[in-house]
Amino acid sequence: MQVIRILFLLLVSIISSAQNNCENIQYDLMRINLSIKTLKNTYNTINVDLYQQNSIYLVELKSRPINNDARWIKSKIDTVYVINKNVFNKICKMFTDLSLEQFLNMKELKDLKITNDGIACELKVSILQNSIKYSFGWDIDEKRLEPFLDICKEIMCLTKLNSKKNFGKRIKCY
Amino acid sequence: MKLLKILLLLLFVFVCSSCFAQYELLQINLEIQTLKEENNHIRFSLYQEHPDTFFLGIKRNPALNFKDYTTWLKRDADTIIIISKDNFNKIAELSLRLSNLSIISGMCKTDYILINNDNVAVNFEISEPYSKISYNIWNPNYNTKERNLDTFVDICKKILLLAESDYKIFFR
Repeated sequence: MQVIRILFLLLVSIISSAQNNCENIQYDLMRINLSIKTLKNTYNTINVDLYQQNSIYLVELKSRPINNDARWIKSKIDTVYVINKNVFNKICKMFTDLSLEQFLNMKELKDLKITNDGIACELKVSILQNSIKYSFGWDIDEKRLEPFLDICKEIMCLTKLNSKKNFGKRIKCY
Repeated sequence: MKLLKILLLLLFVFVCSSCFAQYELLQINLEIQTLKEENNHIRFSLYQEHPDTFFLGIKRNPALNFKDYTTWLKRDADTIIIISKDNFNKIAELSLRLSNLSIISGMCKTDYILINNDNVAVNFEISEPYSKISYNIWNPNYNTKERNLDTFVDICKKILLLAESDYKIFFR
């Protein structure tokens, strides 16, 4: 009985220390960046930045085609959208909840699925001079990447780009 | 009594899983940049090349003097040390214990950030084929506890000790 009591106390202390950590997070200081590189001619490189400026929450979208050919020029985008604070905080929270162990698959090399669809993603959170960056690609269909792709999806939905057409079903939002 | 048995079984499974964990695909990189002339840019890489042989590569670059380009030629030869699997696994386990939540909450404590003329920028990477996590931390040696960087600095110190480098040069 005493062992159960000790275990219960330990559990309570772990939960309360985790809550203390959460309380300190000021999402307003965060700047989230999503960078997607594909092998496609249109929307070859996409950069989305989410940040707060003078209490306004912004999404900055920059897209570049593979070259300046007139056929791909429609995918040359440089624009800014205003978003809701709640949406911004939701994405920041999703980022803080990511787990490092889930991200690394620790598989045998032979089990890795390598395809030629060529999507490389980078998710980065910066706070002043410090940053944490997750880079992944190729085996994008892996189940373990779901929380990371969920964040990409949330961000892509804010940009009003047809992400299903351009980046496959895993990052679709329409 | 039944609950105690289940707890003991869970504990046993947890201990076993950590004992037999495989980290062979991991590569761990630590890059430190300072304003010092001698140890301006130093990079440590921990990786496995052959089965059961683990290496620690060290690359030191001096500060570039643009008036005298030969400074680049005066850099030390790259060094590779063979390390034990135990040491590699210990660092890998510690690295996987880094918590996003705790580090981000530490980053937000703006009162504890120090910017001075003796800056140290640390870039710590954990990578495996097609995935990589990078932590870029500025002056981790200042207000380490308050910024929740205890584990982070501990890993850096352990890598520097393995590389037979004096960690006090970078982390006081």
